[in-house]
Order: sequence, then structure tokens, then C-alpha cells
Amino acid sequence: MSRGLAVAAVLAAGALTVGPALLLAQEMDNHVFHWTQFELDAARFDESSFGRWDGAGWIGTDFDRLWWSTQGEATDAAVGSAEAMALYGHYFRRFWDVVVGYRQDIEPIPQGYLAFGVAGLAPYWFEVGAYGFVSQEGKPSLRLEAETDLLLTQRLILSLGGEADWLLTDDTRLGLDAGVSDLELGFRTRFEVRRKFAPYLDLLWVREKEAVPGAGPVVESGLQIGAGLRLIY
Amino acid sequence: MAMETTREYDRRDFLRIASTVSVGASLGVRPRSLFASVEPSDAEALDVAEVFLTIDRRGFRVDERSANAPMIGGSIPGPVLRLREGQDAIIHVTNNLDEVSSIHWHGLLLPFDQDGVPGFSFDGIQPGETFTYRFPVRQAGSYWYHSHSGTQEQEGMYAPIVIEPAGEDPVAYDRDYSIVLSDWTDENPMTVLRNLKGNGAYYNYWKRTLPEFVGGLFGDAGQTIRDRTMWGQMRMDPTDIADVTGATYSYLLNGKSAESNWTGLFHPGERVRLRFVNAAAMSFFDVKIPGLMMTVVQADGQDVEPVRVDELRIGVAETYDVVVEPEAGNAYTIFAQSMDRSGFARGTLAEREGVEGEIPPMDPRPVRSMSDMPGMEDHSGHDMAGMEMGAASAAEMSEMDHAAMGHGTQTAGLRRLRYEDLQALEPNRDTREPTRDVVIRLTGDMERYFWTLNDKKLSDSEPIRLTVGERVRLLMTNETMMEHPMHLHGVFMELQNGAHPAFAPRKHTIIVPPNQTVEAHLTYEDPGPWAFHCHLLFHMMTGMFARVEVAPAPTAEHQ
Repeated sequence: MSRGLAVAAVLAAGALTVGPALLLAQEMDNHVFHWTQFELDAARFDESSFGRWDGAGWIGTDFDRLWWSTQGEATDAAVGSAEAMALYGHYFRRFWDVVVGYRQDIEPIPQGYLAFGVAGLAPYWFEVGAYGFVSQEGKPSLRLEAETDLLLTQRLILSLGGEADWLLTDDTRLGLDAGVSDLELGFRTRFEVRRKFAPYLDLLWVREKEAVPGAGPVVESGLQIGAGLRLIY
Repeated sequence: MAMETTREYDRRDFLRIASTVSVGASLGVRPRSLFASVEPSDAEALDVAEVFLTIDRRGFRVDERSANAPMIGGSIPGPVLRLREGQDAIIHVTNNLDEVSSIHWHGLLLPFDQDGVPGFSFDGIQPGETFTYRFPVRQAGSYWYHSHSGTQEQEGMYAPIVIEPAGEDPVAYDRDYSIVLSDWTDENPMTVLRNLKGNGAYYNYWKRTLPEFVGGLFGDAGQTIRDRTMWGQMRMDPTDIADVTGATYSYLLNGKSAESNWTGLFHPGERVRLRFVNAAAMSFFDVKIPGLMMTVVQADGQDVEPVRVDELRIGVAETYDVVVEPEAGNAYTIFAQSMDRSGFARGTLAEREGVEGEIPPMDPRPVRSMSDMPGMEDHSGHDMAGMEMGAASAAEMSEMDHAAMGHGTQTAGLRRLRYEDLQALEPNRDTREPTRDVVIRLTGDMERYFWTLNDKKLSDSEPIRLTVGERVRLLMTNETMMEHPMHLHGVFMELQNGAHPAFAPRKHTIIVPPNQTVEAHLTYEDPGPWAFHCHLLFHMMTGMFARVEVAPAPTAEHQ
């Protein structure tokens, strides 16, 4: 009977009786994890050589995460382009996060953006990100990213992907007119010595719009090759 | 040889002597009351078993790798705990770790506050503290005990329990060994989990490749494309057999790697009882002993009608007892290959130390079929004739599982244990029709790597509320691509596998295969908050866990 009473007490006020431990047991399934990936390489495009970086990661629980990313290009002399983005992501359905946050362009023209979108895994194993941006001057733009892995062997992996930036209106601050401002399509072959350490080679077809002072937007396109290292922590 | 006992005098008496010696030696048991049992004539005097266990963190080495691991009694696995049905167990557990720990007596029927689950039974054993478990031993059979805190179980906190029956053992044997199978890594288990969170296929190095696809196109192009399309659409991987694989795991048998070769001795003519425990965190094993038929006599500690098989699959947390009769002049390999064939554990039964049996090659790696996909009809077209059970029967599932996993052909000619083969030796006490249905969907997201019950983690789920004496039908529907070994604390689940319900096998852990529903009936006799969870450690830790609140029977409450 005393056992019965004890049980009744636990059931009635379980949290009081075994509170801290129960909370701990429950918190365990919402543990905070983190993941960081960095790609650093040397690339060549239009007869110039430069370095590229592309970093991304997240920290948080399964349902709520801070996603961050940064990418850019630099030579010994100068940083050609650089941006950073921080997004709060909420898991809203299987495979998908809805995200909202802030993007900062640092080079070539500093500009801030409100960012929002969805990111996740689309059918056929495409990692997809679809974002909308509103620049500090109210100019809207879109970005679409997609990537999928094809295994040549268990460690030699061909990654196909692309990224497109599309200005919905003219952006005088950037000096670009409406339309696709950046387009990259290509493949990358990485060798996963370990999951977290993979050298790679890539070949991209790039179409960039650049603002040339006094001349308006100029379109450059061509093949860009690169070789680098992917590191995961 | 801590795990060996022999029938030199009366076996039961000797067991107690052996337990005194082995437990005393490796555990620091103060064999106060146990000593009483040393007198062979005084068999009934031992009504209290008092045991002292310590939990320490020590170095542990497997082949070329080592790690500091929490362990019970200074070894992995911990010492075998030998009890006798009818005893009162008093077990003092001292936690010498700098973190909270606990010990759960897996499969034992006992009061909820002795069950050892932090947050459910008690607050856990704080660093430096000793917790004393006290419970009557109400059953016999092979069970095991393990930490229910954090990742300590993966690291090394597990050990077997052997409970001698009060009456005569229906199983005749001359010698018994506990065979504890486990998976071990020198990686921090939280790193393993983090890796899975970052990449659900982190440890899968057996994925389908582009060249295989191209090869398929030259074969049956249409089928190849349909197949790839289907899996691609679902964002599922037919090679996803185990979340964590031999890419990081070493598979151990009684704490020894395949290379180190644990050896159990026998004399020709003996009937040897092997008490298999799957103490792995994440790995199912297919177990066989080439050259020997295994007679399965117990499942999850409960006696079953003997079944002779060549091979059995043991899910995480399950136990099976088998009897084998090794012959003179042979060394036999106990071969336990992980379900995904990424590695194996092995040991040897031999007449003397230092000899080895032949190690068989691993069977081909299984691949999941579309019938494993949630929501898919079974298209595999294998023969279901001769089975008179509904779509929800475990037997059929087991059959489907085998066909889907390619075992039908791989182990042609080998008799493989199926759930439908299991039939309780003693009839179940309660054979009433259930009056209450509890429907549990097994759910989760392999990509994000978290697992749930009815789409809820423990932290945001409501308890399942039952009452003592209530007859319950538990329906577990697996909507994921993985097998889940579902463990319900505090009660045996009577697996509805097509056997007469009165002889439905009683299990503490039931494998629910992908895209299948398993039915079990149960009646709680003990009130309390009880844990219900997938026993794959990382599934449990990420949310595949529910709280079952069993209220005392109404009559008892009113008196």
C-alpha cells in the first residue's frame, strides 16, 4: 500500500519527486549540437588566380538552429568578393527548415540584406536552398542553390551543383540591372580520405555580371577551375 | 573464467560457489550471505543475495585502439550477476565516476523505484554515492544489466544476469556461458551522434555508386531507373542497414575482439548452454556456430519450446539462450556478424585454450527492398502461403524482413530463427482479450537524425496512461526504414506471433521491422512510471522514448 501511495505521488506530481532527473532525461533529446564545414581552395578564372573560401555550419537542436555561412574570393592583393549570412532556422516539416536572418555583403560593395527562405533536402537527394533577400535599399533579389552527390566509389564523390542570384529590380547601389547577376554550374570531385578531410578538384561554368564604373554592367563568363580542401569539424 | 560454471557437484550449488568466487574476485563482492551457499547441502538457506558493485572509469583496449570507459566491476562486460528466483536481491552500487550514473536491470520485474532509470525510477546515482537496490527476484532466466545514463552503455557499462529457477530448470545442460555481444568504439559516443546529426550516412561506406547504376542500365534499364527513382523520391537509402557501422565499431564477444578470440571450454558429450545477450548500443547480430545446431530454449529470459536453428538474429537488448552439443576433436567458431555485414564478433568453443575454428566468410550485405519503405505495399512477391496470420503478425514481418533483406537466398539451407518459431513453454498468466489499444507509430527523420514515437520526442510527449491489471493491446507500427528494438520496462509483452495467445512468447524487447506492425498484449502488475523506448541508444537519446504511467488498480487505491 505504501508502494501504491508512493506511485500515486510520483504519478500525480512526478516532476516534483524526480524533477531534476526527469528534466535531464527530457532535455537529453534536445541536446545542442554543431557542425562546421570549410572549403578552401585556389582557383583560376579568366586568366587570373585567386583563392576561394566557402564555410557553412549550424549550431542548435534538431528543431531550432542558427545557420551561418560565408563565402568569398581573394587574391594576394585584395578581397574580390565576400559575404556572410546568419539565419535562424526552424524545422517545419520533414527534411525542411524555414529560415530568416541577415546577410552582409562586404566586397565588392558593402550592403546588408534581410534574408528568408527554405533549405533542406529535396527529392532525389538534392540539397536545396531557396532564399529571398531585400537589400538595405529595399531592392529584392532571389538565390537558388542546389547540389547532389554521385558516388564514383565510396570515397571518390562527384558533386553536381549550381547557384543562381537573380536581381528582381535594378540595383543602383550594386550598379547592376535586373536579371540573373551570378550563375555557377559545375561539378566537384572530392576524395574523402576521411569524412572530415577531403581534397577536391572542381570545374565550374561561371557567368558573372560586374559593374564597371562608367560602363554599366559587364557580363563575363567562362570556366573556372579550382583545387582545394574540405574540412569538417 | 568469470563466466563459466561447471556441473561438478550439484550444478545449482556450484553456481553459487562460482558466483561467489567470480563475483567476489572481480567485483569486490563482500560475499556475506553468499558464503552461506557454499555448503552444498544448504541449498534453501540463501534467501538474500547481497552484492556490491562499483562503477569506475578505466582504460580499455581493443586491438590497436583504446579509450577510458566507465565500467562495472572493472571490466567490460561487467561481472555476471547470479541470482536465484525467490531471493531478495540487495545490490549496492557505488558510483566512482565524476558524472551521474545508474544501473537498470533489463527484463527484471520489480518495483518501479528499483528499475534504475533516471527521471523515472530515481534521480540516478550521483558521483561518489552508493545506491542500494532492493527487490525480490520474481523470475528466472538470462537477462542483463546496464547503465541508463547518457552514453555509458555504449562506452562499456553492461553485464549479464543469470537467474536460477526456484524449481527444476526445464533446460538440461552441463555447463553454461554468458555470451555478451557488443559494439565498441574509441570515438566519444557524443561525437558519433554529432557525426550522424551532420550526416545521417556518416558511417555508411556501402552506398550504391554511379558505376553500379550504369551497370544496372546495361542490365534492366527500366527497372534500374524505376528503382533509383523510387528511392530518390523518398530520400531514402536501400543500403541504410545500420546507422553506425564497422567503420567505427569493433564488435566484441565478452569484451574481446574477433582477433582476441574469447574461448569457452567444453568436454565432449556436454550440453553447453550459451546465454546470448545483445548489449550493443546500435548493432543487430546474426549469430551462428558452423557445425553446430543451436537449440533455442529461452528468449528474453523466458523459456520457450525448444527450436533447432542454424542461425538467429539477435536485436539490440534481446537475449537468447541456446543449447549446443559440441563434439570431441572440434573447435567451433561462434560467429556473430553485424546485420549490415560491416564486421563481426567471434569466439570459440573448444576443448582447450588456444585453438581456433574456421572463421566463415561474412554473408553478402543485405539491401533493403521497396517493401521496407513506409507506406509501400509489399511488392516483393515472395510466398506468403501457409501463413494464416494477418498483415500485422510478427511472423509475417519476420518472413518479410528476411526476404527483403535477402536472407532467403543467402542462407539457403540454413534454418534461421523467426519470431513465429517462438512459443512460450509455460502458458501466460493472463489470456484475457485486451480492452485497451495503445497505438504507437515509430517515426523519425534519418537525415536530421532524430527519432520519435508518434512524431513526438519524450520532451514534448504526453505519458501513456495505463492501470495495473488493465489488459492492453500494444500496436507498434514502424514508419521508418530501420528496425527498432522496442523495450518496455516493468512488464513482459506477449508477442502475438501466430502462436496461440496463451503461449505467445513473453518479451521485454521486440524488433519491429520497417513498414510493419507488431502486436503485443500485456498486463502490468506493478504501478509506476515506466520507460518505453527504442533500445538503439542514439534513437533513444534523440527522442524515441515515452513515459508509461501505470496507476495502481482502482480497488487497491480505495482500500
